[in-house]
Amino acid sequence: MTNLTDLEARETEQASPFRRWLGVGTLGFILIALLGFVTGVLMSAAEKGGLSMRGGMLLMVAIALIALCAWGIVRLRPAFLTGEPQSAKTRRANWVLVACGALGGVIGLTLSIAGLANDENGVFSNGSLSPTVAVIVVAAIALLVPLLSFYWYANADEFEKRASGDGAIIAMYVYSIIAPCWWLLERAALIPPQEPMTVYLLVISVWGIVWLYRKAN
Amino acid sequence: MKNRLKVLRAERDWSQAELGMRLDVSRQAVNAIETGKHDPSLPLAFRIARLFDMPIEDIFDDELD
Repeated sequence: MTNLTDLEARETEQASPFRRWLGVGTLGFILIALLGFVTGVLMSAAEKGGLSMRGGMLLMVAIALIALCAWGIVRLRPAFLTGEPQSAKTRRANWVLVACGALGGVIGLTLSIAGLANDENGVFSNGSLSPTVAVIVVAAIALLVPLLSFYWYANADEFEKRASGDGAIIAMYVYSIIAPCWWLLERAALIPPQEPMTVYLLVISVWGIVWLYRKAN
Repeated sequence: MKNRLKVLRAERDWSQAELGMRLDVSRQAVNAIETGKHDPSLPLAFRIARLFDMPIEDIFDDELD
């Protein structure tokens, strides 16, 4: 039999996954942005037939930061990747979340590279996109997201589903405020036209933050 | 809702992750139940009661009495 105080002390560090997940998410986002930057510098160098001193230094700094982010992600990786015991269903649900993150990363990188080819900047640019790339990315989103969501929902436990559900409800409320307010202010010429991806990012961020918060509180 | 989950777990020398594995839920779910932040559903409460071979009311206390 274990002493309760020892048990509590041992598990205090594991109790809150919020900071850990937030750290991994932030570093992952920075990592993807840096990979996009490196791709851009390399493509520009290929077009110009060489790399300037400034470009070379920026590239080295970016690669160092990528290594730093990767190290941080490994250090902060969620406990389920460190080999703690877990049921098969919990493991499947966690890996679906990892797969969703990987899918987002691949789509982001694809859009970055495709955008650079058209002299567009950034993953969320509204610029023109090759029809082939658009169809491939849309197919990936339309097919994989419902499949992964269904599989996750079939395997996640009730606590995880509640945290996700709470996040989704609050995100829906945020959307129901942002979308009509922006539409009205745009009609009054007070703000620029509505950006679908900005609204999407806001809503999805609220969902994710509330989800993590509910898991930790 | 108050509960004796942590005490029962300590008696068996199980970690939260080990208990989660036995209940088919995550470690975070066990932690949330233990700390009273999440009230388990009736099916999960029954699984907990069966695992510890005790009546539900001996594990969970709704503090109404």
